[in-house]
Amino acid sequence: MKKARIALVGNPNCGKTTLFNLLTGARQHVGNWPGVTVEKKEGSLNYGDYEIDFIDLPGTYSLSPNSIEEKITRNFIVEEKPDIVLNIVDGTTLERSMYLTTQIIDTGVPFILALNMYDEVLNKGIDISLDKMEILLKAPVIRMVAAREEGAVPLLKAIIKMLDEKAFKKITINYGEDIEKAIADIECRLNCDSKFQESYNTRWLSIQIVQQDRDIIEKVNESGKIDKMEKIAKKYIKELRAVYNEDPEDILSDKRYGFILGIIRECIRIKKSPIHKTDFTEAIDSILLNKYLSFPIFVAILWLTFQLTFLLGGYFSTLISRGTVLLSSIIQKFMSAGILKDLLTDGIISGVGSVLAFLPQIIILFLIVAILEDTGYMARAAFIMDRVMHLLGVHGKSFISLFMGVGCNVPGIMAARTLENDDDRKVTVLINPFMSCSARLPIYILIAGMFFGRAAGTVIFSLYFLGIFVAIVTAKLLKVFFFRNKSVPFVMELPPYRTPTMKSLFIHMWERASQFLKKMGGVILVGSVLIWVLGYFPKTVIFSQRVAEMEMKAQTMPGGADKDNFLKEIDIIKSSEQIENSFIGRIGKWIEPFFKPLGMGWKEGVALMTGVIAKEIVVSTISVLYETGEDDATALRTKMAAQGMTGLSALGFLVFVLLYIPCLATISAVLRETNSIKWTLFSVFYGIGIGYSLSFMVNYLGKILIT
Amino acid sequence: MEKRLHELMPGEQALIVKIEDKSIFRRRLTEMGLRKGGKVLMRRDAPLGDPMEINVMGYNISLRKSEAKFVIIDHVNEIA
Repeated sequence: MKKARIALVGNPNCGKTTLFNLLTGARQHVGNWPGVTVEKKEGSLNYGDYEIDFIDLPGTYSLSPNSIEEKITRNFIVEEKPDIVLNIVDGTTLERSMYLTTQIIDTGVPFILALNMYDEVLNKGIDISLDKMEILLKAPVIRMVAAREEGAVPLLKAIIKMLDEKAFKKITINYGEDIEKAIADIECRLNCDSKFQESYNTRWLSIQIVQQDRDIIEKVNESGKIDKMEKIAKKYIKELRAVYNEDPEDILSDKRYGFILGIIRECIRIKKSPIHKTDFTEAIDSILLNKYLSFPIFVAILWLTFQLTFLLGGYFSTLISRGTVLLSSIIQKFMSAGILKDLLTDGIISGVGSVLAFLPQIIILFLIVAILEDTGYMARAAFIMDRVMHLLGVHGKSFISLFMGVGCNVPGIMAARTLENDDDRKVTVLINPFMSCSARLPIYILIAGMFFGRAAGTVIFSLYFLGIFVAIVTAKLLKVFFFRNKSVPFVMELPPYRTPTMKSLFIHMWERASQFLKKMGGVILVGSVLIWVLGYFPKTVIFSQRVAEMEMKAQTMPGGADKDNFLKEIDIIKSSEQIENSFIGRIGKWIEPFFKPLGMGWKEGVALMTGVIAKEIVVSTISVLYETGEDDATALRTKMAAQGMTGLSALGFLVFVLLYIPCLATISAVLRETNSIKWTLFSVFYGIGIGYSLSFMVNYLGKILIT
Repeated sequence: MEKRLHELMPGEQALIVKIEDKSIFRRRLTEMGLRKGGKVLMRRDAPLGDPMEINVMGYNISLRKSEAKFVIIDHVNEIA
């Protein structure tokens, strides 16, 4: 078997990923490019004598290094030197799509041009002479309809032929006498250093230098052998500017479009003269983007997404939870009591259960997100929402991610993947935990219900808004201090509406689900077991005098409901004492001074710590520690008040719950999506810090206001 | 008469004269098809007034008005 590497390069929405899925099927591997959150997809295919490795490079409109995606694509082509660059273009928009092709031609790598969406080309009455195009480009040109799996075989044959014959004739685009003179001179100087000659196409390097590409000029300067490249570049730029009254870069892009128009003039005939069929996409847009209808429709789609994900998904999650409870109870019956049994039932099974419980929601959400993306609606949603999201300094598409965060931060954070820009994506991920997720609601209901009576609704509502407010401020701060890179303007394609293929939908869904299980499942599981261990050890052997007395009393009681209730009470007191003596209880007491200024005792501290597994747990920990049943709110309130909990400190507690670390699953999602330990730690400590400060302010300012 | 892109009304067509301002921004627009001398058709404003949708080279793109104002256009509705 001979090996070959082929890079897929193309504009966003050109069907690149569909073609990649078509070529590699399920034999895909998804990872990240080193140090960034941009996805790296690789897949393999055995064809003929070859084992072909396909690399799906990020969708870009050009190879100029404006964004991280473009840098990745460009560096891969010029530094990793794939055997062939497979350039996929939307056949209906050649004039724009082939701009990227002209830049690929500059790099001098062997390439194949795949004209995708050829069915639409024919429908529009466009006639493309592929033969002529091949002659002009000196490269194979293949027609395809990737969505209908047409054209894969001719494409693979062309690939094999190219690999076998190794006959690739480079062509060059002529940039005009003056520019060519500059390119030739710089190239000649570069050739003095064998390093460049061996590892780069020097014409390509020279073109970049004429275009004042900082990265390349610096790279050349670093070599040390060719000094003053910057001066030389500046000299030429000055000269060219004097002649053309334009930057060389603009002259080059003019020439590129000239080259493309030349090819179009030679190869393309419009057969059916423009009998204007009503444009399908324009017809739909006149409704979906209508001034009055767009928002109702958008809200309806969001509502449906939310309902399906969290109600339908929640239904399956409940089934899974019930399954784990059932499994635990079976094990309870058949295993003898002891640490191993407790570890298995309370630690591992409930940990696995809490991981699996997320799965239905993730699968459903990502199926819907894939549909919204592949049909083209996602871009419209961003178009509608951009005005609002721009205020936060993020992209219109961030809205979907943040909105889903209100249901659950984990799928919300994962949905940030739809953002193309690395900075926007990181900001969206980092502010997502402040969207108050549904797991926090039971805590709000319990505490606000107890302390604020009829005002509870208002308090809960305000908490949601506080979360949004903190998210806005955080986004602004992040933009000001860390993500200053404003260079990429908001220019987004609104692609034609298209029917998504089942294959891409399912591959997309499967990818997300397996990523969640593989990358996050482990972290969540280990964390859950760890917290279980901290709460379980050291095991309390001797309970307090009080328990002993109560147990004596129970023995004398007649059987019946009264005795059962009494025994239950004893159990609660026992668990409470167990937690108090455990490591987590000791840690809680040790860090009590930290919570004191917030008007909280060690019990609240412990509850907040256990809440890191999942926020819902806070409620059960609190009721256990206060030795009340979960449904006995009056008793709990009395007991909490007796410990010094006031309305103010209850509010402070809720504010802290809203803002501190949402849960382990969210932390691992942040880690996964930012691909950076630094940002994950930032997220954790920033959340605790802001939660602490605001909670403190509630207590402090509240006291001043009241007195 | 020269105008700026954000001043176009829905349905109006014009020719692009030049793109002012910073190089990276100009580069990005050029790469996405806003070529000097090229045609541009204004489709619509977003429901909240910003961004706007335009058609160039047969496909639709959206851009913010604050960015569109750097695009100088001419011959509004004078082209076939």
